[in-house]
Amino acid sequence: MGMKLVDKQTHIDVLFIAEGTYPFIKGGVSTWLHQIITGMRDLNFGVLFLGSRPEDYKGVGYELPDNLVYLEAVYLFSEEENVQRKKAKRESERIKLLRIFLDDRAFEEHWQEVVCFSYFNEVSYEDFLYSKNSWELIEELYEELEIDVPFVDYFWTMRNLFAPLFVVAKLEMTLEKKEIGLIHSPSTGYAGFLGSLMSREYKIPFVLTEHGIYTKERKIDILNAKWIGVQYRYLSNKYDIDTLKKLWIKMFVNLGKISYYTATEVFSLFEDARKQQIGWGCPPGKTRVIPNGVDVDRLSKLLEKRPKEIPKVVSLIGRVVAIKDIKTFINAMSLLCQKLPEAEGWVVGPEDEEPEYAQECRELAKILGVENRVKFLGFQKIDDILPKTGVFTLTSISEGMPLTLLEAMASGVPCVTTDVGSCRQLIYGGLSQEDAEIGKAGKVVSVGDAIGLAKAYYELLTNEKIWKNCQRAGLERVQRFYRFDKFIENYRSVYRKYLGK
Amino acid sequence: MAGISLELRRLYKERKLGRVLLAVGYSAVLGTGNWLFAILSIFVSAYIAEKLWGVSETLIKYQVYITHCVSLSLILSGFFQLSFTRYISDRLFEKEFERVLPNTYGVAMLTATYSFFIALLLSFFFFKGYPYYYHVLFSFTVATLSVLWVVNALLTGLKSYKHIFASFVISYSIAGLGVIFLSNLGLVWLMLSFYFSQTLLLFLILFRVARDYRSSKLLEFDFLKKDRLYKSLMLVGFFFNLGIWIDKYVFWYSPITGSHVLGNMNASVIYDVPFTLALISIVPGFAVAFLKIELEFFDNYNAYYNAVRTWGRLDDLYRLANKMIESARSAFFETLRFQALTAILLIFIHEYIFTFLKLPTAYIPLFEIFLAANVFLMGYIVIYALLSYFDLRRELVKMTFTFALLNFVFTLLTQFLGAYFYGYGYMFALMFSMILGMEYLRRFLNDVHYRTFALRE
Repeated sequence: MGMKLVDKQTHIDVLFIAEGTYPFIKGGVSTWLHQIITGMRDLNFGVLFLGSRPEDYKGVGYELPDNLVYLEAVYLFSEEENVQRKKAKRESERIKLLRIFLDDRAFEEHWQEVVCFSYFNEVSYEDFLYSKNSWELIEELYEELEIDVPFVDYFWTMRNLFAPLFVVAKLEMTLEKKEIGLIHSPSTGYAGFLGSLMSREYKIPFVLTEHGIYTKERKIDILNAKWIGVQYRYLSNKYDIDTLKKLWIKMFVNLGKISYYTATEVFSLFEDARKQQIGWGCPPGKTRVIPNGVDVDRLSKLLEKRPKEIPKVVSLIGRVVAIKDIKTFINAMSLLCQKLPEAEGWVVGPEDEEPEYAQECRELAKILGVENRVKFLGFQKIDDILPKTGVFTLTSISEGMPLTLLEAMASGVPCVTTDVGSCRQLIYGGLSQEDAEIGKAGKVVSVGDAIGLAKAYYELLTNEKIWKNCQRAGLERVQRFYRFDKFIENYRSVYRKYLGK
Repeated sequence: MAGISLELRRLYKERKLGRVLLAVGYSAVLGTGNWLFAILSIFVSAYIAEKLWGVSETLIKYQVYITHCVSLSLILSGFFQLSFTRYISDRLFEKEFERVLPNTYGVAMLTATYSFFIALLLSFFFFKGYPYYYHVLFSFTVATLSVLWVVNALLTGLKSYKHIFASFVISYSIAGLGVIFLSNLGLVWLMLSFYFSQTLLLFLILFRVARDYRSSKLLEFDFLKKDRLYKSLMLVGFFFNLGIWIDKYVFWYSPITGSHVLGNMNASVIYDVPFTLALISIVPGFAVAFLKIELEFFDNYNAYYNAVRTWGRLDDLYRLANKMIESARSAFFETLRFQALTAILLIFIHEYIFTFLKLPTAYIPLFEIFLAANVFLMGYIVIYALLSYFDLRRELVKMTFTFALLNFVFTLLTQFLGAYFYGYGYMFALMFSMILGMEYLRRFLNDVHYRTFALRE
């Protein structure tokens, strides 16, 4: 089931449970994790990577630090083939408690009975797949939740919803022998569930940092996903397609609550995120904001590499995936090029995660006639890109606290983003009065507003005075509030509290 | 954030649920019919020939010879009748049409080879002291018939009824005419004519496979690869045929009831004659079973599994399953009822039949037992067909094995109990196995949704 990549046979101070991120997928969370590990060389770190299937990942994308003493990759969906297809021998009534994930009242009453070792000891994956009780639960929920889609679609959705829980639970049993000081999960979801299980069972403290709001991001994923729901059938598309999506959302909301209830502290990157966590059910007393930080001293040196003129280049640094809404960026660039034909748009980031979407983006550029103006550069070093950039941009429909935005500010590039996550706070200064007085480091427009983006790009690229003001504000804000050493210091003090060092 | 749930779409597997298994269910019912009627036609023409020419000794030898050829080949080819049909059905499902013909040739070659050698070995016993051409003819005939039954099961599964029917009519007419016109010339000529009629039949039905499933390959043994054949179905085919014949072999080769007819080939007149006569009684029952299953049950079965695979909500599934179960029940009970009615009717008039056919009335008690046994035989066959529709392979193995075992044990027992008990062994073995099959079917249908969704691969 699992694949141990590193095991230095020593104690682990902090175990990260990384769902679909470090060290296989590059991105915000992975960078954040890598920074913490490399920033605290004196602590031993472990990473438990939860992925979908081995074939979905290319390989380790980071140089693994020496103090990463344990790394195991586990795949949640490669399990089913190994389970013997037979009727379960003993039938446990308790399998029906799985309903807590879909039934809010049952959740509050029974969640503690499910999130424990003994539960998964009694109720095996085999029981879930083949037992009569499990079947009855699935039938009951079909009626109770008033599902109106074909049973077969519902049935497979249920299997996919619950299957990872069993894989995750089994994993916890294998990690029993490791000496672990603290569990730190960078998301709720299945990773948070595993963290909660281990924490409750082995009395290991558990803290949670949410980058985006997992529950909310899953909601976006799910609402966008064409694959959930009934397959299109001739003359039968009268079903409420959303029914199955609602099931997924319910599942993730309740998974999230388990993490919130179990964790001793729940961190977020910015104030809005903290409020949202409370909205999703997190006890307010546990919440706290710890913002990201960047290496201001290193990045400010990039200023020296900048040309005198403002480069007529708008760079979007991020993975080419739907959630980043690259298409709106392409639209905005085509509008900008009508007024400023020499402008260029650079999309900097890997395209292999959603190849179909990447292809669609390229085709859109072609259709709009900007295939020569919008360049897809793939993964690049930011040190090469930022000095050649006139405006840094993000057009995402969801963000947490994007590191790239901080890095752009720290290297003196004005920023234009959509109003998501902490972007407004970072660009306009939302921490305090003092922060606001520093001024604007760029512009924030609403999600999907290509016209607004284009206007903002044009203004910054053509008006040197405004541009200079934004540059100065960005540099100052990062210097004052988002320094890397401060970020590391914050987490170090958290860890120290639990590890007693 | 790169989450996992997005990846799920790739795992939303193509559903393997509730695949409709046409072929095996069909051939289970119909494949059985074909050889029953084939044998009957030989006996009818032998009867006619005897009335015409009165060469009864040759004809009796011939009948015994045919019975041995048919029964041995059925048992020997039992391993591949159902399993190979299922293999082809799976290949068709995977759209590997290219595989049909070369593998059919492959299975034909394999069955023919081992059947030939086993028959050759047996022929040294059967035809001890006879000229070599008896051995050769016997072995070739058994080999040909073995292949014939496999292809027959396959083609029935592929629903080429008309073609099969026409082929059987043509070749058995020739065999029948051969019996009527060649019986004066001697046994060997009859054997030869039977061999040729069967070779013709085999070519006729193989031709259909070759015409419908062209392939660039001539010969392939893909079906022998690991996990390509269901071992359970191999056993089912074997036990089913063994069960049907084992009581006859006990009677033929028992020192009490058997006697030499042709070399060491035995027969048991007191057992065979009433049995064969009673076999005629299943013709109407068979027709009812066929119609009930083919027309009524199959539609409901299809409707249910369609709903399972595609559109059915839970209440639809319950509704359709109830309809399907109802039609399975009705297929079973209507067949039983009809067969019982036929049996009762025949019991009322059997004396007239026996006098009309100029047969000794001493056969009547055993004839009556066989009439009753045939009610259970039809029940057993219907259950057998239904179980194979639902792909309950393990249950099929258990049921057919039980029948083969009980039929052997009970029949042996009746040998010791005395003439008064003859036939009861066969009847009770059928009854018990039928009830066992009913229980399996009941258990499955009680939980049909659960078993279809949760326990199916």
